[in-house]
Amino acid sequence: MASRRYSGLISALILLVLLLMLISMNLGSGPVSLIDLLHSADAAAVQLILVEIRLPRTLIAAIAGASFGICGAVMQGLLRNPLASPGLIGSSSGAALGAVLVLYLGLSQINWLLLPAGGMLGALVALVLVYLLAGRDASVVTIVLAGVAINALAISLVSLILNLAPSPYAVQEIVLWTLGSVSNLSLNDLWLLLLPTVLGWLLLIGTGRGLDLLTLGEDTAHSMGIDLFALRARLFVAVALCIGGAVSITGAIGFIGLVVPHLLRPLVHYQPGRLLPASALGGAAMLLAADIVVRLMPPGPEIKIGVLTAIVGAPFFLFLILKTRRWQI
Amino acid sequence: MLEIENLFVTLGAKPVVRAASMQVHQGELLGLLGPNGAGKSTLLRSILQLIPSSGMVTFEGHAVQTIPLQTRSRKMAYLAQQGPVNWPLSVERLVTLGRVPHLTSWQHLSSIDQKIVQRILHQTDLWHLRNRTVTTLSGGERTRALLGRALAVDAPLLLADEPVAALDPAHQLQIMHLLRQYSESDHAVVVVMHDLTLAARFCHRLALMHNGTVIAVGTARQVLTPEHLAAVYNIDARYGADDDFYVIPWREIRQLASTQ
Amino acid sequence: MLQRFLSRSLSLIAVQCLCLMPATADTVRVASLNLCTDQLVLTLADPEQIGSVTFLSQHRESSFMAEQALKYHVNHGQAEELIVLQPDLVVTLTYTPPTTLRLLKHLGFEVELFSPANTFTEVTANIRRMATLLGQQARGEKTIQLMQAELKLLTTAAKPDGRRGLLYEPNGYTAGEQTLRGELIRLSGWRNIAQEVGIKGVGVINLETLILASPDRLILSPYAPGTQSLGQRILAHPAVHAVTSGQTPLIIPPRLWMCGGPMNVEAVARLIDGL
Repeated sequence: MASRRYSGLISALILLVLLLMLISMNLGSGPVSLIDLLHSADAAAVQLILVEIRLPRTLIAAIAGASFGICGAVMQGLLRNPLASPGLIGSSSGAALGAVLVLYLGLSQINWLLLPAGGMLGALVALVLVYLLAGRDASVVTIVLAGVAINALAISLVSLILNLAPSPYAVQEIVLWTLGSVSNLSLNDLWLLLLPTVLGWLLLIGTGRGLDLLTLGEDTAHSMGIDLFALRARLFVAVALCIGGAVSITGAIGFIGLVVPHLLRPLVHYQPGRLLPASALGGAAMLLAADIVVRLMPPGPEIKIGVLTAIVGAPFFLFLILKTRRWQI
Repeated sequence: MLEIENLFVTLGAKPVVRAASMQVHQGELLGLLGPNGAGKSTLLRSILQLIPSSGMVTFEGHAVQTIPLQTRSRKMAYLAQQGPVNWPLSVERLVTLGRVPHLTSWQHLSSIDQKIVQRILHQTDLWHLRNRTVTTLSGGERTRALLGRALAVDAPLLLADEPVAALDPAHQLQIMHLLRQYSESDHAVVVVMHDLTLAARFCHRLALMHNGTVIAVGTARQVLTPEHLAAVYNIDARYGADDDFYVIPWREIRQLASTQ
Repeated sequence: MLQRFLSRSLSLIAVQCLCLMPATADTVRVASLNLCTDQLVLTLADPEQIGSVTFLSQHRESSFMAEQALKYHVNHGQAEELIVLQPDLVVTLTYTPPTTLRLLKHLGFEVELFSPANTFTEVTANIRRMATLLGQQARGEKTIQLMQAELKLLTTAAKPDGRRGLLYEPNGYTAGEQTLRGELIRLSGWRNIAQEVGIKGVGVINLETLILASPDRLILSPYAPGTQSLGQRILAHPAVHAVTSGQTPLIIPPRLWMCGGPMNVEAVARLIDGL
């Protein structure tokens, strides 16, 4: 019965994501919708808008959102801490730092794949640093503090590089990297995102059991057949691939990895393994929804998508802190 | 079944287990006793390869470190001392986790697995609590749930680290009874404990550790002698033997601080 | 050919301003704190009148007068850089930060603020005003006359056929009504799409609007070619290329129209060439 409820939840989330993707495809500054593909005076322009602009935007929002969501669930499961998420513990800003280095110093011209590779490396370094700083079985406070330190360092290095970058446009783009945006992306960006993301997702397959057992602590999990070193290394690389790929294309969109797993956890009966697919779908839905709201805002300079996720996420974060504080006192 | 020979464990620069040797036989409940810091938990953790050690640990004739992790996880179950439950799982899900070592990556629970889980929920008196979340349980219920998880592994050897600490007498008796029952169904159980009375009452054999070494192994009568208790715990005990041998720790021999 | 003719006549202007004029006792020494006033000063002033220009005036990408500017003291737009120099007059655009302006006035400098020229009329007005401040009215009038004559020659030769162009800059910026670049595009016989979609001043045109407007050709003005940023990446969006059916964009070097001045005529010439 529990299994049926779980597949019900997953189906509902899939439907939600598909619905949001449909809305996203039909929404833009131009009066163009999917129906226009069938009969339109200016078929070429309609096709350009739908295929070259809205399709990459929609798919990138869905894929990046899924990555943020699933990586939040992974981090929370691995560190057994509801406050762990790619944004809070610095892997997103680490990824942004890596991507910024590659893009603005012109390395991405050698090979475009260096962009997600830089993001991945940045995310991995940040992850390992936080893990070493906080140590095993670290308390909520230690992890958040280590994350704050790594975050601050990465963001200040991002702005330093943007200041020193040869391009005169670089300095203004700090907002894009720290808040994120899915506007003006192309199918090229989609391919760049897809490669590391798919690798990361593949690595995550089958890690659910390990996360389930980690609920009982590392010693017990090990006694039940979980090779902790291998699991940790695999999850770190997977998260770095997903977050590195996503952030190097969309910038560090925050709070999805924090909010989504937390909202869905009761619905999967607190099982970390089952939370992974659910959080991927939930993350996709949340980023798609945020991007739809961005486009529904009155015309003018587009609001960065990370502003919306933060407006939802930051109060939620405070709420979580209050809740964990109550547990601890 | 389990043989420990000349085992050494060093944590940091400090030798914690020194030349420890003992054997555990099938069908017995072995109580591992010793004062705080004697190396009991460390011994268990090194048997499970959670910390590096030197010396020989053999299980069913094989050196433990040569047994693949997956196999080992089905052979030895571990009940950690005050083990955490990080998410508010339901009792049934918690106990079900014990079956994971028996599943391959894509396998789901079979009806046999489910029957085992149900049996354990009844045995541990958790059936009526099976849908409650672990975080809402009382101390005794929580310990029973965690023990249920360890029993569900159905491993030939169970290593339980202080499962009855911090429980009231009724729950202590209940847990000890469960462990004894488990051992007598062709399993072996090593239980770390402090309560000498309970240990003498329930365990088939006792092992007494002091300063990292197993100084005595045998029946309660053989191990809990006045000499041992004075040397190891620095206490006097009162003994009784109406039907069974029993022991009650009575008083300190001298100020503990002065022995340092 | 048109271009060659123009660059020759423009270099004439430059030569004129550099040729030696006897310095008088009441020569006004001027310091400029903005690229656009730099170029007016370099065009109109005698060499000994020029106290300082900005470092940007020496950059080839942004300054039409880079060559001439090399001879002079450069500043970075900071008030304190002028203290040793003690110019009689400081000229700059209204873009200058108010804190710098306050400091300049506090230090006792005479400051003349120029508004950025958004139309050709304003360009001539700025030239005339700068010439008057420098005491170079005759040179100012001559410069204006030459510009107007060349522009007339160019625009009467041009045959507008209603081709629609769009200036497209990093981050999607474009120039619509009431911008110098918008006016130069229009003067050259292009229909400016930015104006058609109702962009006033400098504004952003988003990708979908761009595609629906379907420009015949894009006009680019790369300010820092060879550098990388997200803003510049938008220019490489496949949809942007597809919409003009792969036609190469028309490149107008920013030095020709970032500021108002005689070099705007060459911008017009290139825009007409690209029509």
